Amino acid sequence: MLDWDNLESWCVIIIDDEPDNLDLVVETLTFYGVTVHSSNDGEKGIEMVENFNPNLILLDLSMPDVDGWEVHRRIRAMPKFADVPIVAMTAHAMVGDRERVMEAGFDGYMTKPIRVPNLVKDIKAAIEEGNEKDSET
Amino acid sequence: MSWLRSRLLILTILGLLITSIVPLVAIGIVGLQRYESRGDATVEESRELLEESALDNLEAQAAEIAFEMAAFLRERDEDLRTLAELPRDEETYLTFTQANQRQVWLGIDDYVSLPLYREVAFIDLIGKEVLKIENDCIEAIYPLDCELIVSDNLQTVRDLTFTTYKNEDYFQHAKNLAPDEIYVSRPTGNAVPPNVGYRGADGGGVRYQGVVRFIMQVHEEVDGEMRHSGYVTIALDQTHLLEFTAHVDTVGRGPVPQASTLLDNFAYAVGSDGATFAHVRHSAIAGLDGNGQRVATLSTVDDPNDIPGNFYQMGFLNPIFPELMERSAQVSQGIVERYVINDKEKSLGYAIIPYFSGSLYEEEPRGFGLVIVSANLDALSVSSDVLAVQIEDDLATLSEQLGGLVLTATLLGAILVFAVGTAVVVPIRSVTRYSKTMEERGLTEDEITALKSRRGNTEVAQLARTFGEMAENVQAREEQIAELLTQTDEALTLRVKELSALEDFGRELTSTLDIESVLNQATQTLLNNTEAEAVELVISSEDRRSTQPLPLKQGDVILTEETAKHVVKIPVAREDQTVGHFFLMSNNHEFTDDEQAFTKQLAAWVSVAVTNARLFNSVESQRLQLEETNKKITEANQLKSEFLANVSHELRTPLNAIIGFSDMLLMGINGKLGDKQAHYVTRVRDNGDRLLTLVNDILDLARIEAGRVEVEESVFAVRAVVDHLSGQADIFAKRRRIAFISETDENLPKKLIGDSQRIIQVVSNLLSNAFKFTEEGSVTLNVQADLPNKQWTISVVDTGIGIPPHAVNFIFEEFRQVDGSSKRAFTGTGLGLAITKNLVRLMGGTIAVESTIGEGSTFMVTLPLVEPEDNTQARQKGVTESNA
Repeated sequence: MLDWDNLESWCVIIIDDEPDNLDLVVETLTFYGVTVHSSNDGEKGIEMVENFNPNLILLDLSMPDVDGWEVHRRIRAMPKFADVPIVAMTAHAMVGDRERVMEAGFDGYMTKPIRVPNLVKDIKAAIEEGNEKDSET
Repeated sequence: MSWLRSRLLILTILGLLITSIVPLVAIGIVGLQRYESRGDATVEESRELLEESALDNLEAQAAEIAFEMAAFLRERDEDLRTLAELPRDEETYLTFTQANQRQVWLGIDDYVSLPLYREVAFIDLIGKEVLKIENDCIEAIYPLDCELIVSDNLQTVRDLTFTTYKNEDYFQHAKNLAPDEIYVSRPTGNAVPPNVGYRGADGGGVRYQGVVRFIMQVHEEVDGEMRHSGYVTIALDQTHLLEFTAHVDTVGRGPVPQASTLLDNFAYAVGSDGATFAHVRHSAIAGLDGNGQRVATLSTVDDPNDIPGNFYQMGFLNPIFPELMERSAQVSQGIVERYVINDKEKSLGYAIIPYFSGSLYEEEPRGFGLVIVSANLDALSVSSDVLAVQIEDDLATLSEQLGGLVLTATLLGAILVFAVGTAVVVPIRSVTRYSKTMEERGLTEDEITALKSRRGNTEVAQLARTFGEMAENVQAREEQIAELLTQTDEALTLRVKELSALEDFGRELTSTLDIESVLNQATQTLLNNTEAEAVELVISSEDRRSTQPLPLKQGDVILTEETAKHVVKIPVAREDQTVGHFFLMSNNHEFTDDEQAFTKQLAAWVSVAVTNARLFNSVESQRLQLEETNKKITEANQLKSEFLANVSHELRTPLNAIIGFSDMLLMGINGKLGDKQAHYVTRVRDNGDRLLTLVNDILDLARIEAGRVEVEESVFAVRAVVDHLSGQADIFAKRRRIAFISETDENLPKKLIGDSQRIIQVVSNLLSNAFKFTEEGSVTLNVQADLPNKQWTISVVDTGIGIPPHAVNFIFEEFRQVDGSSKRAFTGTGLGLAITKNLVRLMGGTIAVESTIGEGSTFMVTLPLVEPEDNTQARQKGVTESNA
């Protein structure tokens, strides 16, 4: 589980084919003391998850080859990572995109552009909103 | 006397014998003659009959296979609809696939159960397979030891090259389907090695095999709303289609040769694109490579040189195929015709496969393709010749036997006639002859006189005299009746002819709405039913029709109103409104009253028909226009949504970097910035924000236009809304150094029902505009109740620059700012007021503006006032208490 008061206990993996977003998130979270690993490739990202045992995964959806949907599906298929929160971080912000993401079983949904000063707060809000959705259904 | 009596008795008996034998003999002679003369004709007739029955059977067989195939395909439609309703888990999908199996023929008395579907899958909205059951028969070695498995080879089928057969475009089609519509692909396949897969009558195995893809959208209820959640697809194993032609059984069908390669007779099925997908000889089914050439039979699914997907079109069929399709699309049963194919005269029985599903077949009723059964007529002809020789032999034998019989009977008859003729028969026959003559043509006066004056007292002579008198009376009466009948008949014939012409015409008119054919029929009817040599019908300068007697002789003057000797002009009128004229023209005939009356009656019909046709044409053209427009709008909307989604995604990605890195610099993660640096980075960030607002505004507007925005109806506190807005406005006011005033009507109920978030969005947009356009003075927020009319009004009043009168009308439109020039004094997307107006309308309210240049503007939002129930009760209670 994520300890919101002790960011140094976090191990985050971010998978995104956009180097800009990788740099933004890695630098910002590192600044707060979080351990962050990043991958710009879905296949390698899954390997990384198996190796590093993260307690949070941030995942872009549109990626070449293995996209975010598939990465999510394959991580979820591994019993070991069944409870690790996976948050979609995407530039898909049209009507229905949030619903599709939540229906696919993601734990949270964040749209780009992300707000760097509020990054941790926004991640928390996204996961809490995802939990509410779960308990509603 | 006793001798005489006994002689008469004998003669009478003999006479009876004669009358019974003579007809017999006559029949014998006639029969013999007919058999002899028609011997050859009978043989020819039998040959034709044989052939005709063969052709009938070809036709029936093609139609039967086509109908069975269509019924089979329709069952697959039902399977797909069932699948769409099933829960999406591996077990259910596997059970579904296993449950759908069918026997296929492996050879004589050898059947095996084969799954119907090569693939059963659920595909998500972006074209990725989420769940797939696969059938490994593709690689299975004879005799088809197939296994159904949950596939872990999930593909993004949106990309054609990732589909099983490398160029299947079913996902592209499925995106555009209506919710309950099914898309069905043409058969698509791959070449396989000779010893792999299904082995039919050919024995050598299928060289090419594939699937027919069925796909439809899945719509499910989510939060009480139907949503498009993905697609289900099934891939029908083409092997099952081969079944229909592979072992066509003709036993019991009479003279149709069995469809077999040895007899040079075939049964096959061809898609609407002309490609063969089922054939009694499986090696005739082949694929195409990239150059349209037949694919080498040894290539496989994974062979990189094979570009599979399309079936091969049999060359000999290509020149006649469009004709076959065209003709069979017009009948429901089969057709049979002769063609020379590969230098052999063949009869083709063919029928359309009456299965129509999905957008592929929308344009014309082409169905799934054709079933063709062909027979080699040369072979058929040989067997007919054998039969013909047999018939000839039989006839000859029959003829000999009959001849003997006739000869004997004739001899016997002749002797008897000679014996009896002279005695009784001759006189009686003379009377008989007269009576027969009378029946046929009546008797002449001489003949009657001869009869009446017959002398003597014998019974025979008395009979003759009485007969003469009777004949005289009968003939006189007959003549009278005949004359009367002739007169009546003529009159009746004329009436019936006129009536039936009018009736036919009327019936035709009620069934046509085409003005051309109305005109043609009318002129033709007149020409047939009057003595007119030429007829002209003029409705308007464009719609006119004239008929002339044909052929025109060289030098004949063409009959017109000016040149004809006799012309009758009859108006084509309806309720006093004349729509045109008939002209009857003739050089030799003056038109009678009857003819004119007939024409007037016709004119009445025509006027109605013309009016109907005109009405129909105008309605029809409007309908077509509307349909076209509708289609365009739907397409445009679809394109717009896709475009917006792309623009949104592509703009957000760079904005993420611009805003994100600016924020990072400002946070000082990489060291503190100097004042000036911080200032400029802030400006970069703010411009990023502005772009983001623009993107969001455009999406908001698109959402409202698409009807995707809903307003909530929940209880909210008016005070909280006003406080929230005032808080925002105070910040603006301080920044702009102008005053902000907030006034709330005390009569306004404390709690109302509505969408507080939308109300805040609307008013805060108006406030932000008011501050933007006001340099000095004040901005006022005024909330007023109008209890009698059950509404309340929120006004935003400013003392700003004002709006010119001409602009008041369009400020609520998209992308409009009053100053459309390039000064760019005011920031904003120009979408704010359009969104505001749309939101207000969604909430059931209205928005209005009053403005004077240089003095300021007032925007008023009026919303329906709805109170929560307990609120109203509380207030009424208060009133009662104060009364008491």
